[in-house]
Amino acid sequence: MFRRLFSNSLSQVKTRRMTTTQAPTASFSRKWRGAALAYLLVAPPLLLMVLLIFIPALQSIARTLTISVDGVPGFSLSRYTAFFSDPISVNNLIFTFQVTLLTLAAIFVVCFPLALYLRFSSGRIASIVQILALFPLFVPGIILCYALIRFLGTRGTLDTVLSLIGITGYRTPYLKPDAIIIGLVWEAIPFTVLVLTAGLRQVSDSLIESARDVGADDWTIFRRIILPLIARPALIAFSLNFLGIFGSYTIPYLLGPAAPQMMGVFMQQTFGQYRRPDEAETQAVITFIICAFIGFLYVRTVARQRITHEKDE
Amino acid sequence: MTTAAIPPNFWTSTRRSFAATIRRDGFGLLAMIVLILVILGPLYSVVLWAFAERWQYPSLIPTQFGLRYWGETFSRADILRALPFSIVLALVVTLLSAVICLPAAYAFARMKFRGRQLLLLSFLATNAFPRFGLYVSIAVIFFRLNLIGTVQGVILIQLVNTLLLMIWIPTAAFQAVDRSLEEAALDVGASPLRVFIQITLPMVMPALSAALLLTFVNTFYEAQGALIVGLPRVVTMPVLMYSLINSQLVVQYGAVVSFVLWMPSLLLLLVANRLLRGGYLTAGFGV
Amino acid sequence: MATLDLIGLTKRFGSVTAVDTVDLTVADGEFMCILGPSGCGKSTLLRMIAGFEMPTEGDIRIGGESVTPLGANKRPTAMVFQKYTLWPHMRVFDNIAFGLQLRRLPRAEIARKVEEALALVSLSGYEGRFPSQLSGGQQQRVALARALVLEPKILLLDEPFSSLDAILRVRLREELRRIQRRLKITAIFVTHDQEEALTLADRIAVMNSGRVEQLAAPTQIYDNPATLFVADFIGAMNLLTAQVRGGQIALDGVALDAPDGVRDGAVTVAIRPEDLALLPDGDHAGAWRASVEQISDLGHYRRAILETPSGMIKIYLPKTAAAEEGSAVSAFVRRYLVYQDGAPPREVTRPLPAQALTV
Repeated sequence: MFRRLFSNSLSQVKTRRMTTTQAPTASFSRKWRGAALAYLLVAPPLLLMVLLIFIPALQSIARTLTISVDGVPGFSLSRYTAFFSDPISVNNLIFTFQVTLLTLAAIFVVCFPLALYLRFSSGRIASIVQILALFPLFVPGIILCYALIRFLGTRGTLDTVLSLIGITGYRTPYLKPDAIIIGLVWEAIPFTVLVLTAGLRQVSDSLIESARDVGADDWTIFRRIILPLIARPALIAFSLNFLGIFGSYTIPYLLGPAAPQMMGVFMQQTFGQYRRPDEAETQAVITFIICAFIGFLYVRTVARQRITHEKDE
Repeated sequence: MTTAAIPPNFWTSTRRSFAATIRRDGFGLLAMIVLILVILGPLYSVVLWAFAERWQYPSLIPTQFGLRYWGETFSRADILRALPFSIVLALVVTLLSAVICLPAAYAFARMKFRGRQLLLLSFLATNAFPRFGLYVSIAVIFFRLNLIGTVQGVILIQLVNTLLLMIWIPTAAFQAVDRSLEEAALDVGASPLRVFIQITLPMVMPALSAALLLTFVNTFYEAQGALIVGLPRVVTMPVLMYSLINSQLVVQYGAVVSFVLWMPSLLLLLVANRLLRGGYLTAGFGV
Repeated sequence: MATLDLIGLTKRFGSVTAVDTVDLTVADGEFMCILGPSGCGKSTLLRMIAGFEMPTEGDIRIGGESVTPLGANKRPTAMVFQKYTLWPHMRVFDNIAFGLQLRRLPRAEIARKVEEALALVSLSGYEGRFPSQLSGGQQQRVALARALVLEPKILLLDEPFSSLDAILRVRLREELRRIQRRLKITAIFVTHDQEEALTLADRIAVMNSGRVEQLAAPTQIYDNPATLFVADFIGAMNLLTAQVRGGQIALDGVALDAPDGVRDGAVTVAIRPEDLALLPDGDHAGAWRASVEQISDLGHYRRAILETPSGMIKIYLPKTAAAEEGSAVSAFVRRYLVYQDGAPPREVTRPLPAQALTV
């Protein structure tokens, strides 16, 4: 009996391998032709991406590191020393960092409890909370800016409501860094909640119940079971939000102060208004370098997530 | 997640069990109230401003309702030019993206070749750069190629944004179609082409339309790339919004335009439940 | 309606040989079951007949004509798959009519044929339903109707009932047999369920590791399994290894006569549980002294496990047999098969002594 069971499971392994490696159906040339067709089909979008992302980025990096003296190009860091010796530029970079980190902290403070709540409760209020939390997904950034100006601005809706209930002396965050953070958090809520709840849903009820069964308290369950299991989704949310905030333009431009500026606004001004593409390029490459690690983290996390996923199936 | 999930007797039963609800679900109730204020508050202002003729401080609703500014807004030459242009542009970009990406998605889902997984993952690169920095890099190249201020330039830069979504959603959809359904059709005598058209395509249609719809809406609202590459000659509707907001001479112009611009997004809202269940909403982020 | 000939059919996936030079002839109107454990190559064999896999070597002939170079869509075969493979976006009518529409049949004829096919599988009136509105059993019936409506020369079935529950499986099995008899269609049915094969088939081909181990009628497969694999795979069997010395098979605790043609050396003795009988405790020729280890009541019969010097032995007893767990008995071997060196088995039957407790 055992022997049969064993040999069955062995042969099952064999079939599974057979079906997944899928028919190298016929001759070598036919297989090669199939692959060639596949490469032909995936070539256009890849080409587009290479032409419009990799080449511009690499060219920018290369160009900002060279300077031509009498027509002979040579390596130079002069563009970067120029950037870092200009107090306005440095200020803008520091400001961008500050806004990014503060916004990220605010996003997680807001979204983590929301996601936990949505995962572990059901009922009418939970479904309304979910609708509301996802609603910003359907409000484009530029309309959001306009709406926030009308809502938060002097004599805006908030001001009106406060004065009606007797609170006067409202000081608007509009055109201050606070407004940028408010706008960016508003925009990031749906995505972050969606990713975190999806992660939390992988933590099954039975998993938590069995932990409780062996005597774990809520805090231990959170720390030992929930947290490790949603580390990956949280990392995706963190990295993508970081990149989004660092590379944002519309919200800081429309809601933020004239100075200091976030890098997006700064670059647009340098490129569009002052017509200094070289300097704008240097600024861009500096954002690339700062974000390179985060971008790598994002790609790696998503890649791992997908590969485990495919293995599960 | 839609209103369909709310039972019909919702409001009456809520009132009855209000006290009980607070005790049981204090956090939820608090979250709901705060979110209503924070999420719906700003939109409330915009919608009311769009239909206000006068709104004096400190009134909670407009002092005088009316549609006067609708007429004024839509007699402005810049808006009349930008609105149809933006729609056509978004359609063209969506169509081009489909032509470029869908065959690739099919190949990723159904064909075996070396580096398949790696190439598929490489499209995450579109998200892995700080967006505006990347646009500046592209713009510098376009500057040399004289593509600044051209429609072609705007189309190209907007196409970059559509790649991830237009490849990942359809790839997942093609992968989800059970092969034996196609084999069953082959078995009753259908040619491979017919199998694709009559069996495979109808089954991936929901995902494909989701991808097309999301791409259209995203492109329609894309402002930053169009701003840096399109100006001064090519002005899309969202780009025009920047100047309407900044000039602020007449509040209502911005409100009316916002309201109108919001319509395509409402389209998404209507199918939100299906998008959410299909997992399409986060696919654009590579999740 | 035709014969099917497989000639030296071989399929290799890389270095794995899934189907190994199979020769098989299926007669016109015959119901052939291909039975084997998962991974034995039976599904690959069927998929080659259907045209989903190209054979590495060999030829497939239907009605004497080679179909090997034809694609699945050009072959006169129709298949019912293991999973529900109704097209979810088409109603039942269109699912069945699809193949007919491809053949450009007149509309009225299509309607008539679909109606007939549905009547055949007892689903008249379900034309307008979508697959999602049908139960699993109903979906498989529609799949069967979809295959039959094209009047294929060969009907192929790939474990079509394996995802249904036990009762439904039995009912659909009977229905399939009835339809096949009525239409006199040649059918190839792949399964790993021996009960299914034994009840359905005119002949069974038992496959193992890509080869056909035995091709015979169900009773013969059961009574005379050609190889040890078949003996072990079909039904319950006590398999005991032993040495032959001087015309006697020396098992622990009992000696059995070695049949003619068995040389001295290692053999395997195969005894069906129903070929054992209980005798009162004591020394009997050709019987073990044993104790009853466990008894399970299985409704119409009882199954006992005996502890003998040769190990645990399974035995089937009539419901009325008086035996209790823990009691001492003797187990008499009425019939056994002896396997040696891969040669066909030799059968020995012995008369039951008068003191038998059973029957």
